[in-house]
Amino acid sequence: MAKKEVTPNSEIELPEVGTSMEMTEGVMGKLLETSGVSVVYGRPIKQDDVTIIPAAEVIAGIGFGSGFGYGPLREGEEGSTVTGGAEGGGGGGKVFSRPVAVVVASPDGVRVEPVQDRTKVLLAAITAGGFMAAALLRMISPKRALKELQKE
Amino acid sequence: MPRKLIESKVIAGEPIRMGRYQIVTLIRSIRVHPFGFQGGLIWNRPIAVMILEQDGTERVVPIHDVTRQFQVLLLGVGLIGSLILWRTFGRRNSR
Repeated sequence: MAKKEVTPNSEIELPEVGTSMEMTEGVMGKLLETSGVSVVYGRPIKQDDVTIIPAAEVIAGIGFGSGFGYGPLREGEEGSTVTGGAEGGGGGGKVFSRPVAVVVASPDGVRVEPVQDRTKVLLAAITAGGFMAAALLRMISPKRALKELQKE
Repeated sequence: MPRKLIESKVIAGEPIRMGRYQIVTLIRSIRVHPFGFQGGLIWNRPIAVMILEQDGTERVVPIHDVTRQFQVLLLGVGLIGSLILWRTFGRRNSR
């Protein structure tokens, strides 16, 4: 907590703010740096004559905020003017990663082998089927037919 | 210089020596910086690898995200199928 004694004839010096913001930005900046080429493509793995490089999709989301405030001026000892202040900040982030492909280098040449995530494909198929089933059930529901009859 | 809301750029990695080939990895980085919001979103994905052979030949091999393609295809089929069903059964019920 910042505290500064000021005499009546001198100017009030406010505490320096932005320190927590700078610290938070620094930490978040380091998080951003981790989401670069070195994270998308992994280290080459060598086995005999074959070398592979894994490739992944990386999504990172971050957010942070900070605030500061000063207390009211009040009279201190011997007629001096005192004020107080504080600042704070916080932030958070999340990183998602998913394998996409593998680059394979062998004496026969270099090729890219895609990685198929069958679980995600199955989930997408179930979601699509659910959309269609919901639409179909809604269309052929007895309640809807009754509403149409009542309108007539 | 003010930040753009959405930035997209291609970034090349350091060349990697793999046998008689030299490979340069390429990624596409999309960054979203909402205005007035401290933070953002970064989406990095591999797009291609550039292969440099000893004889100087250069070729680019694209990287296809098969899983994402299947997801988009299936969700698109679901959406279009729902619209078709709605139009078909919606018309029948209104007759």
